[in-house]
Amino acid sequence: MLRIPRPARSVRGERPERPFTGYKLAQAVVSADGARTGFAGLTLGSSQVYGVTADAACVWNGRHRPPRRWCGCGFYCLHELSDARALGCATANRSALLLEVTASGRYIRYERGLRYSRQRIRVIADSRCGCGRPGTALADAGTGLVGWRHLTPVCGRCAAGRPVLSMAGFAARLDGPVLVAPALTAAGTGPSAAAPAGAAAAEESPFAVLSAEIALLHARLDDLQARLGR
Amino acid sequence: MRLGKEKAAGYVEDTEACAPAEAPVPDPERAQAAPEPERAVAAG
Repeated sequence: MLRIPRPARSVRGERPERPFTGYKLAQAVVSADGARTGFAGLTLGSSQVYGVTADAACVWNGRHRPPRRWCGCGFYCLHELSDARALGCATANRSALLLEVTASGRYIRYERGLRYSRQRIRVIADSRCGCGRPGTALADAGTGLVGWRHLTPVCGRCAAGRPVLSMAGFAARLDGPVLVAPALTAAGTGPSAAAPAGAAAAEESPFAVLSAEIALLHARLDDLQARLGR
Repeated sequence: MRLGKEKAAGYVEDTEACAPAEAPVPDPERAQAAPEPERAVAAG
């Protein structure tokens, strides 16, 4: 349950030279046609999908600009990575991605984080499979929004046989550049790299099969061309 | 999400939006597929 922080005292008018770096959790989503990916919030913003760069909108009152004091609107992030990791331990947040973001625009700064109006996602920093290994791919979570399917992180071992989207594939379908932590990619050196070869192959199967079929088609065309030449 | 007590409010520009350090790691899945050059075929 989200608790709206109350101001201890009114301090206004900060104008920092550089935007803030923060950490937050978000649900990964993929469009119905699989062509686009994005993020959805976990609590207040759970019904809204946003991309790499986004401006906050109040879900209750469209007449004011987030973040409004006495309203809970705006994007949220935490100053410390450790706080975001701790938040990810909660049952409701287990399938969320941990993101590193740049927070800018109008903001209210709190002890542990920010509420702000503009966000740019920079890094998918962490994700966990239900088994505890790093989530190197994303599978259908079985829930979603109109037009969007929720995704849940899975490791190579738990993904075996399931249709999945690699973390790099997820990032490639976003509407802007986002880095993926090395431990979450196929070449990562984390525990997922020790997954069985069969599981890894299953994870990459759509692309591998397509490449193999294209290579076979090329070979047959070459053969046909050679016969016609004779 | 509990953020604690309010400390301040303000406005800041995203001055790092186009910084070179933000350039993504090359991703083969993002690369545009380009057709391979056609082979020369002897005609006639």
